[in-house]
Amino acid sequence: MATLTLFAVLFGCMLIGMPIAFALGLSSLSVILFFTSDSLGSVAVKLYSDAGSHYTLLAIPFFVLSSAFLSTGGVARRIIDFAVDCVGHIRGGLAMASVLACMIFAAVSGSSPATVAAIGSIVIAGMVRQGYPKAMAAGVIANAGTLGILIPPSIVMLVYSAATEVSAARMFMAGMIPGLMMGTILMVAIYIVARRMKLQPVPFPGLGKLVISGSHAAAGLFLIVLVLGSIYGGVASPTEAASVAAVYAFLVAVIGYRDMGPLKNSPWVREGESVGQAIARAILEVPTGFVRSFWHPEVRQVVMDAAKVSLMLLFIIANAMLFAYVLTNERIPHAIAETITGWGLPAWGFLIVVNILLLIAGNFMEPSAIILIMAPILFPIAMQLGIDPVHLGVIMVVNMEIGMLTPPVGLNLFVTAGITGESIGWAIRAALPWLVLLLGFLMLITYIPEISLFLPELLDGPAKGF
Amino acid sequence: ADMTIKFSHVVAENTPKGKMARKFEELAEAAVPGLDVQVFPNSQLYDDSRVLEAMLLGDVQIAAPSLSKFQRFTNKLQVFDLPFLFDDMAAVDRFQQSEAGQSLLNSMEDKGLIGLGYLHNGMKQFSANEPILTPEDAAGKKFRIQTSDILAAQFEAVDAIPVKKPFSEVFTLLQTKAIDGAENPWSNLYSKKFFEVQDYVTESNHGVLDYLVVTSASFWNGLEPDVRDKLNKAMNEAIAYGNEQSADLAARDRQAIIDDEGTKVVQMSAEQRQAWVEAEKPVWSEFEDDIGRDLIDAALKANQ
Amino acid sequence: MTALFSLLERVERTIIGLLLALMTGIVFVEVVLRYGFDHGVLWAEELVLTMASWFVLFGASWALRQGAHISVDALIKLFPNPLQRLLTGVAIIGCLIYCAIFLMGSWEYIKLMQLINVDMEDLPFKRWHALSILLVAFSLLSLNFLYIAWRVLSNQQSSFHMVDEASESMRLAEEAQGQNGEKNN
Ligand code: NA
Ligand code: NA
Repeated sequence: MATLTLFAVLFGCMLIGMPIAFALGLSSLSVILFFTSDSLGSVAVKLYSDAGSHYTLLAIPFFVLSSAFLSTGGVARRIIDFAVDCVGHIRGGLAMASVLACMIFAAVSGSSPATVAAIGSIVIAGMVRQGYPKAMAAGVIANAGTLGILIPPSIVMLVYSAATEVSAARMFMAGMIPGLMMGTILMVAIYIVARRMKLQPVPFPGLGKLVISGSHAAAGLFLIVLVLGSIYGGVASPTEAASVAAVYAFLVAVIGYRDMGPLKNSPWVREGESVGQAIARAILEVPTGFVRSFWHPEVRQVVMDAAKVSLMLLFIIANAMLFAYVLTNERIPHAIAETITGWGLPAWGFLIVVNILLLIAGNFMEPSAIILIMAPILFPIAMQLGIDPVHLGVIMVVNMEIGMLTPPVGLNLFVTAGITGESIGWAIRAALPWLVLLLGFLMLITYIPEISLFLPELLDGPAKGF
Repeated sequence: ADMTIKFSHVVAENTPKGKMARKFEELAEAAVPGLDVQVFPNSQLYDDSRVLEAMLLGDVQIAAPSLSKFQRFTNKLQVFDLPFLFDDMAAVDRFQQSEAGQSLLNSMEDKGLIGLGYLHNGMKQFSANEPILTPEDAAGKKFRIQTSDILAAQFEAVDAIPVKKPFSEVFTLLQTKAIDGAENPWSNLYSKKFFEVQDYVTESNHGVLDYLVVTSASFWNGLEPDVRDKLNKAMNEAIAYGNEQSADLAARDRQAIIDDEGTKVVQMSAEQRQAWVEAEKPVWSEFEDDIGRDLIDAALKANQ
Repeated sequence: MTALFSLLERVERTIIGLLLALMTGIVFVEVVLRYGFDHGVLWAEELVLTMASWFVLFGASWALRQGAHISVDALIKLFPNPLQRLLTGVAIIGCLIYCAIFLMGSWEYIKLMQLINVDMEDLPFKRWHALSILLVAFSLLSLNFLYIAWRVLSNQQSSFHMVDEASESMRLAEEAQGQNGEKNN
């Protein structure tokens, strides 16, 4: 009865146009009020802490802010120009380059929505400018962005390791080949689609122009070096690196390129100015420009745009966690797991059920919450059936990727809708054809364990202990 | 069920705390007819910092957070955070069972919480990419700490740099060497895989990271006296069982880390340990007023 | 009414922008201090997380007025205007119930935390000081939902989207001009 109420209120509210965050919250509240003895105070405890006790989630507003500066401050335009000069002469080249960018970014970020936000806001506009259908551009990015949790580092994998005591290092290694593979599959599909749609490549501009556009984009491209470097060079955690990225993007846009902000009409070197004069002016202008930028309307607009997207995402996450809390409190996942154990399935059958279960759960809950609840339930059954724990982990992660693209709690869809300014329904339709690829990929991952296990077994030896 | 008790904790079912919770469920339900104990592992309901507030609101009846989580409720429990105060787990256990240790269980009743007993997690060990044997070895290195003024002072006393970071970030920060080291009991070192990203573990036994099984005063005092006695008995039995499990696990995880080729386990000599004790004594006096001299003395007496 | 909301808008924008910028800045400075100067800022984590809670809760109502909270409007768009407005009205009542429940819950929670009067972990405040944002946030949200309800009743809008269409189209026009300008360069 509680379960029925929960889902009836959720879908009812969503269908009459209530914002999804409030629909998740209100359906949770209705169950808490009518079916539990929980106090209202505890609901406030939950919401307050879910709004801000998850340090890893801070990576989202930071990366959103960073990409807002990159896309507004002329950095994105320079990167896109460079990318087009690089691969625009291949059919579908820009879309392929975008997937590659997502893969690189996935190696920087542990979260999928952050990957979509950072790359998507830059390249979707660029692809549209190159004549790609907007839906195709958005769909490709929404899907490629899910690689954020498959290519290490991955927040979701760390959560799985913590829940099951599987080595995090092994999990990270296991995600590498599947991540590269999924990226490649997407690129091949793009090439085929581009041929069939007869997307026109642009002529190769020549090496000289390539070097010039490359040097124009260098300050933007350096962000990747900076973020990767600060994580793997032992300076910062992914969340902290996200803040470094945001500060750097702000400096590049406002002080470096000066396409926006207080120094907009004040180039590094004015016409007819000597080097000495330019340096003297820079010494004065850079600090004052930095301070003035805090009051500058353009800079503030970028911050507010980033705040808008971040608020939307984080408010949904906070309410989704309340929803997950109700599911747990009602022991809905437990009941499902007990039913499955009762069926006495063989390994392959169990994996089908696991996939279906996780795909459904992915529709309603936030990945970390799903892993924390489902892994301890599924793990012992999987061990009995002789399924490798790392393999099970990768299957769960790929399912979570798909969950990022399915309504109502598909964060990548929200980010995509947010950065394109389109409706959520439009984002779903845009992502759908590419989602089919991801489903096919899930089948490969599920039934060919070697894809996941090859690298950890090669580098780390066969699993010990379990 | 006539009565429901929710037991919320933050670790997996197969850990000593997880097993202890299940044991309590089993024993309490057998002892009290019509009682339903519901165990929620893995922070499914609340994390350690929020569970106490939910308990005060009456939504959770039993939890077992780390002792350091009670800093905001009472200064006295910080005695367990003092570095190099206890020689070993046996001393910790003697102190906890002593009159002073048992009186601490009721030190938060004015804030609405009652301790039901101490559950062992274990003695903390230093880990880093170099062996940490003397106080000088730690100087200049960045160590991750949990929330506690004392833990910060412990590292500052030897010119090390305490860095406060959430548990979820620790693995990555250690792996990338953004932080040099950490302090963890054997069970955390092993289960959270921290040993995989640290070259050396020092068997320093320099502090204790135990749990306090806690309930809300209004719930506990509102129970029928005979029900309360039965639950108390079930809890004591469950905790004893959990502590056995904990000792076994600590020994097993310690051996597993010793056997691991990537990590070297080193021992402090008696002089090296004494150098640490001398270096950390100022921390004891710094917090003497907060904790109470009598408690510190009682703890030292437990070393025998 | 309009004057009130434009004042509110200015205050909200300043606070929200400051919170986001400060959160980013503090985490960044903490990294610089730790890596460059071997110094750990122990209170930074709690401060940033508290600011994150404030950002999300306080910002929710501003985001609502900006039309940032995503909803599924495919079905409702199929209906004629009066029915659209009726269903939106029902949804608004639902949202007001949501706010009312949270206001009651927050009140209960804050009163309790005030009673036991515990400190924050590292910051020199009481826990209930930080929690008081819950009351502000849900009061503001209620106010904004009431405002939307009034606009729906008076037929100024039929769904949750309260974007000022005139200024939004101006901004779009300016952006389009900007794009053309770029191409000409
Ligand atoms: Na990643
Ligand atoms: Na989903």
